[in-house]
Amino acid sequence: MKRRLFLQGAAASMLIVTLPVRANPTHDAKFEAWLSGHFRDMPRASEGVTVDLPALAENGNSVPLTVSADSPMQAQDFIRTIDIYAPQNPMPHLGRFHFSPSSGVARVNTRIRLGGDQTVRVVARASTDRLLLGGADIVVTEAACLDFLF
Amino acid sequence: MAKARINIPRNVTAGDVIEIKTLITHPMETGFRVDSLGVRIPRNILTHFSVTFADQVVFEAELQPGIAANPYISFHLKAERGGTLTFTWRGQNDFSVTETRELAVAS
Repeated sequence: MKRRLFLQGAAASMLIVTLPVRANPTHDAKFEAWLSGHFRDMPRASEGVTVDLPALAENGNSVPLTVSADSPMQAQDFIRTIDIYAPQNPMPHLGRFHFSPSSGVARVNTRIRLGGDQTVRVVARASTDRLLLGGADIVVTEAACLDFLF
Repeated sequence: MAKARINIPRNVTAGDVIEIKTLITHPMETGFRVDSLGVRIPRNILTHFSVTFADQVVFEAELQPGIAANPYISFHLKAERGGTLTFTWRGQNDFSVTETRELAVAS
């Protein structure tokens, strides 16, 4: 019985190990300002975007990122653009990808630079002017650029 | 000269959604780095990537310094018929590379 308890406890303590990415109000405010600056008051939904990013990167120089957005991708309703935003980076807007109904699926895969631990944000804009938001936390052991000039 | 690599699947049937993978050699210099003498290295990045098929833009990307060196981009395309895909990368310092590839589609 003791052994079983010990094993259960050991298993539970392993599950408690979570990622040390803490909510960062400064990042959230930065992202919010950028979002409303670019898309004003378009209706938003915090679903429909899948962000595939490793939970930990030893090096921020080249981190694989796959982003996809749920959409029928038909002429009357498709994803027009996907934006990637990394608030910890000196230039947080990493890029914008444009799609069309002939894309078939709104998905893009690229490699990004990251300047530290953060929540990478993704904004997909549908042709109906609806925004789908998503994000993924990542811990970056060594930031992409250690000699930023400020 | 920049070398571009493009991978288009073979054995495509009409109506398939295919993944097209692209990679081009480019330093994507951020403009935030300094050299060994402490002098700032000027920014030199690719800013634009576009793919056209039958005179229509089917995919486009606007790139910023936050994209890693030697930009790899893969995207999808609904293959209705065969034709020529034109890939264009443009960047600072008049960087421009255009490549074409044939897409073969079996009906």
